Amino acid sequence: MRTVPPLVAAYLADLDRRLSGADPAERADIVDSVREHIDVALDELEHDPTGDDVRRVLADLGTVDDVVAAWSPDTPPLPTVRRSLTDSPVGVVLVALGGLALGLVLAPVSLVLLAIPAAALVLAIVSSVGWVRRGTHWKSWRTTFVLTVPVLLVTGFVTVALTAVYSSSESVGGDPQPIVSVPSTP
Amino acid sequence: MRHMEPKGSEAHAVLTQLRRGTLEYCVLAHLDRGPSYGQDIARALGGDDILFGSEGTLYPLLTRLRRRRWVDTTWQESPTGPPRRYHALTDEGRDALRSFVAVWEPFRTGVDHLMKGIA
Repeated sequence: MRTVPPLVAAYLADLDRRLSGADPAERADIVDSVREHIDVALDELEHDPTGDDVRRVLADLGTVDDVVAAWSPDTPPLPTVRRSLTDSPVGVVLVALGGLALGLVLAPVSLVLLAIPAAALVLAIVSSVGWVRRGTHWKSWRTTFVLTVPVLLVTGFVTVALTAVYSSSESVGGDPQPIVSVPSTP
Repeated sequence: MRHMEPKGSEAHAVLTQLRRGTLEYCVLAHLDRGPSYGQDIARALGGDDILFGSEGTLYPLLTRLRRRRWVDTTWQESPTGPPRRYHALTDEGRDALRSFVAVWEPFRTGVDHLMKGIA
């Protein structure tokens, strides 16, 4: 029986240690299979293996890291951390400014289309809930909230202010009277 | 023809992902021809550096195939050396291989069609 070369013993011991998280039966199975592979490879040399032979066989096997990595490919990858515009304070300011600009653009039509501030209000409420609940897309909800609130404030303010001005002008001036030319009676 | 593993970390990452999805079926395909032992499978699949990065990665894969009952393993005496574990395809493994082949053909055609002409 051939003595186990120290390099092989170290390789197998390292592999066994690195697989400590595996099911014990699977761990033993993998280590035994690799040991058998080495035995067969060295046996096929038909001469006493030299240090170079052992190193070549181990090199063909790959590193212990390679083998361990192949044991656990079913492990789900770590979830990717998604970057969001509102991850930084600067990003929050930029998105808020974008919301402000959008609000100013929408302000002239918000008087006619009252649905705009109403929709902004609903979206702000929904996005705040999505943000607070910290679900899968909570960062997207946060960005939506930061964008929506300035739109809501601008369009809401413009709508309320202009409605108030219009109402007061009506109460001061009264109902406009139609100008009707009355034909002179003969 | 011997292929060499593409260079570069991005190419290596792509190759690793592709191997994870296909290598075990390549082992099943090899065993479809008859029972085989580890060294033999490693030689057959590792002839080029495309399917295998290193021979040692075969053994965790075989353990996984055994766990799924796609492969059955028995010890057999060797006329030239120590006893060897022979791995054989089970009926479940054969079914899995057939399912893979049925999906692989249209999958490969679709990918080839999309990738055609891209340098």
